[in-house]
Amino acid sequence: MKVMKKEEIIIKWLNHEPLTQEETYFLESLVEYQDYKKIVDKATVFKAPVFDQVKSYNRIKEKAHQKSFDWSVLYKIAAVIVVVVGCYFAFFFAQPQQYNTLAQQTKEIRLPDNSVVLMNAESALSYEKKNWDDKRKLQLQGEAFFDVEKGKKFTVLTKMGEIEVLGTEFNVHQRNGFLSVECYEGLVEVRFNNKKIQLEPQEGLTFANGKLIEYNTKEATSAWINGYSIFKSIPVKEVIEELERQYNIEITLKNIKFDNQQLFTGNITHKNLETALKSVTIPFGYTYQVSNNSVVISAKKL
Amino acid sequence: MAKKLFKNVCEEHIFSSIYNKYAKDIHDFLFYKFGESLQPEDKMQEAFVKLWQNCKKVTPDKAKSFLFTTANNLMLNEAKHKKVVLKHHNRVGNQDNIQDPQFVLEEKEYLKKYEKAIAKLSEAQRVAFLMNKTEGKKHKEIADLLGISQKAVEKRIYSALEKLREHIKEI
Repeated sequence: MKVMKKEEIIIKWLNHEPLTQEETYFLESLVEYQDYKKIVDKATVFKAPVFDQVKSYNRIKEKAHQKSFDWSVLYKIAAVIVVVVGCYFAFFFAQPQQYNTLAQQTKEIRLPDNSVVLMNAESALSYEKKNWDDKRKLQLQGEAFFDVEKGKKFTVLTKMGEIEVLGTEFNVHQRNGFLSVECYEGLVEVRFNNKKIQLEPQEGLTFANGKLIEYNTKEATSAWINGYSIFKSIPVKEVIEELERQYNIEITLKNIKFDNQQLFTGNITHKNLETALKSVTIPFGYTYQVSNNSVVISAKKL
Repeated sequence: MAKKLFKNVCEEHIFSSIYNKYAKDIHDFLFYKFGESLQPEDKMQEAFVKLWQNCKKVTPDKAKSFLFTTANNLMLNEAKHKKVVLKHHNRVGNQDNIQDPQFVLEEKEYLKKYEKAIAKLSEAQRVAFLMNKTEGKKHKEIADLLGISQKAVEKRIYSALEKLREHIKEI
C-alpha cells in the first residue's frame, strides 16, 4: 500500500469513520499504531474545564450593559472634566490674587517676580498673576511696605492715586481720604489729582483734605515694620483708627469731636497700648479709660 | 410595509441562540489554543459582549466568525506567545481501585511527556487535534468552526498526531 493510503486510513480512523476489514488490519499492523492509540485514548485528560453556561450568559448581559453604559458616559464625564478644569485654570489665572489682613495682623506676600509686600493691619491687596512680569500692577487699600525687585514698571493703585517705581523700597498708606507715601530706596513717582511728585530716598508725602505735605524722614524702612507708626500731619481721626487697627480694640470718643483740621505728628508704638494711648491723648489734654477690648477717650482735662 | 433585510443580533432571542450554539466551542477553542492561564471563559464572555455592542453591524451568519476572531484577538493582546501549558486532569485511573504502583508511576511519566508534547504543537495543530480527540468533534465540524477546509483540518490533526508521537518517544 502506498504512503498516501496510510495517512488516509489514519485520518478516517481519527474521524471515527468505519474502516474496511482490510484497512483495520493495515492500521493495526502499523508500528506506530500502539503509540497512536495511546495518544488518542489519553487525549481526554486535556479536556477543557466545564463552565456554567447560564451563569456565563448572565455575566455577559451584565458586562454588556455596564460597557455600553460606561463608554458613552465616560466620554461625557471626561469632556465635562476637561471643560471644568479648563475653566478653572482660565478663571484662576484671570482672577486677581486677593490678600486681606485683619486687625492686629500683618502679612508678607511674595509676588511672582520675588518682590515682597508687607501688609499692615486691615489692608487689602490684589493683583493679577497673568503676565505679571510685563505688567506689575497691584491694588492696595490700607497700608503696605514694598520691596520691589528691579524690572519693568511697578505700579501701586490706590483710590487716591498711583505710585509708580522701577525697583525700590517704599511704603504706601491710603485710607479714608488720605494718602501717605514714603520712599526708602530708589525713586518713586506718586500720581494723584493730575499731579506728579517724585520722591527720593528718605522723602515722604502726605495728602489729606486736599492738602499736600512733603517731608523728610530719617527712617531707613517703614516704621510699622519695626512695631510703631510715625504720623506726619495726619488727621487725629486717622491716628485713632490706626490704634484700633493695631490693637484690635474699639475706641469711643466722649465729648470730643475731631474735625479734619486737627492733625497729629508723632510716633505711636504697636506694642504697648497704654503708651500709645498716652502719646495720642496727652498732647490734646484728654484722658482715657481701658476696659477689655474697648477704650473710651474723654475730654475731661487732667 | 417595511421588511427587515436580515435578522438582527440585537434581538435577544437571536443573541442567546448564538450564545448557546457557540459559547462552549469558543471557550474550548481558546482553552486549547492558549491554555487555561489566560482565562478563556472571561475572553469568551468579552467576545460576546463585543458582539452585543456591535449587534447592528454583525449579521447572524457572520456572528460565528466575528466571535472567533474577536476572542482570538483578545487573547493575542494578552498572550503575546506566552508558553501554553495544558495541565492534564487525571480522570483515568480512578476506575481501577487496585493499581500496580509501577503502572501508576509509568502513567504519570507518560502524561508528563504528553503535556510537554502538547505544548510543543503549533496552535493550529493543537486546536484541531484536541477538538477532535478530546471534544470528539468531527473533522467537518471543526472545519466549519474554524472557517477552513476539512482537508486542512485533517492535515493538522494528522501532523499533530505524528508530532506528539515523536516528542513522547524522544523525551
